[in-house]
Amino acid sequence: MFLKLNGRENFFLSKSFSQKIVKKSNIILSPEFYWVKRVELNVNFSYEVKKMAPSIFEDMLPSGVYEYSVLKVSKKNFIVMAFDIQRIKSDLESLGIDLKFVNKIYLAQSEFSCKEDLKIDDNFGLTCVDSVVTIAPLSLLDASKSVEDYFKKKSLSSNYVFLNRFKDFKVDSKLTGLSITILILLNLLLALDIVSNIKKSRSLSSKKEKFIRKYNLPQTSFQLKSIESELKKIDKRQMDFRKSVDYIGRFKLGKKESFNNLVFDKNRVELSLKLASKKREKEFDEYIKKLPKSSLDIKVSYEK
Amino acid sequence: MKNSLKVKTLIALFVIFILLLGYKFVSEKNFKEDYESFINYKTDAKNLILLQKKWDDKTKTKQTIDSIKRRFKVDSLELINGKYIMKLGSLKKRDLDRFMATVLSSNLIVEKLEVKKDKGLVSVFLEVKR
Repeated sequence: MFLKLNGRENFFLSKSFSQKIVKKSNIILSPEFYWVKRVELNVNFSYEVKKMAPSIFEDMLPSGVYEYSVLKVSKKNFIVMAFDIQRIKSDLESLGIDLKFVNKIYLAQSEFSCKEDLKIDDNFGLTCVDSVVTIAPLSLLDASKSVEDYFKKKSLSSNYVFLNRFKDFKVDSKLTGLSITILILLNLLLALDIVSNIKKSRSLSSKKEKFIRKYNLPQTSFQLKSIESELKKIDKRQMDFRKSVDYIGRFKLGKKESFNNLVFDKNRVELSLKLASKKREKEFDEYIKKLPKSSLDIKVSYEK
Repeated sequence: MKNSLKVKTLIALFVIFILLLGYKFVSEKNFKEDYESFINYKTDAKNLILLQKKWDDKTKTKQTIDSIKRRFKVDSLELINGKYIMKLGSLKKRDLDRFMATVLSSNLIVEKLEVKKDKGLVSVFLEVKR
């Protein structure tokens, strides 16, 4: 029961299979490994039938986890197959087949075209009854060709029921175990680091809240800068006013000379004073010009 | 443990590792930004606190006003629209120098000041922000 196709060896598997498989191969299961039912339903598509498959097989299957496959035979006629992949795997193992040598598993129902009977062994053959692939005693069949010959000439469909996902990769058990340990440790370290970051972040937030409450400050830097800018304006104006008055007060007055009026309002300083001569007035004008840079507008008038 | 299970575990752990690594970088970046923002906030706040102590201390302003009231002959003192309005009618020159020294060395926010001299006596009008 050995066939070769597309570089993979193919085996038709019945419960009497006794060969040893030592290379990656495709397996075609005989009807002994799955359940089949032909149904006539008022639907058009296979996927609609697949949704109904569990109820089609209700109370008919032994306990297990079943998957379903549907083939459309003709309009409103479908063949529904049920299979338990775990059961199939354990059947394969009990037949001495190592799963690592299994590439894809197919059902005979989807691969056999029913045009002729096939010989499985000396006692049984493969045939179709009402489009359902089944095993029958060879004496009842007109089988001239063996299953090996049949599948040798036929390319397999894409309707496989199982694909060995780890087919081409060899797993080094020790290396995998080591990698798992390293990854667990790294994940733990990362998790601890993240927890520490979260704690630091919370502590920072609480520090900020305390600082804000202690000094009764606004929440955002934007609000803070806006208040600061207002106070800076006040600071500049008040300091300019104080410096100006201090500077003016340091001008030495002679006898019969005096400051008469001083008005400070907004950004304006008005000064009225009485000086002894025009020369002195010029001296004072020059003195005022030397006043350090100020934001205030200083106006001087002289009284006679 | 079966090999396939080991491989699945390895893949799951690797995915968790990548996710944790991403989360770690994001959380670290956020913390760094928060920290820098807090430091900047603190610097700005210190400047603000200094300015507030200098110009926005209502208690200190009240104390200075009370002190002026005690030390000089104040004709009237009113608090209107958040402003102290003070009038002093007959200060001598020596008193004026002391008054000006008190005002200029204080934290009072002077909005308006008028000093007028008339026949040896000085009258003062002072408007100060509360």
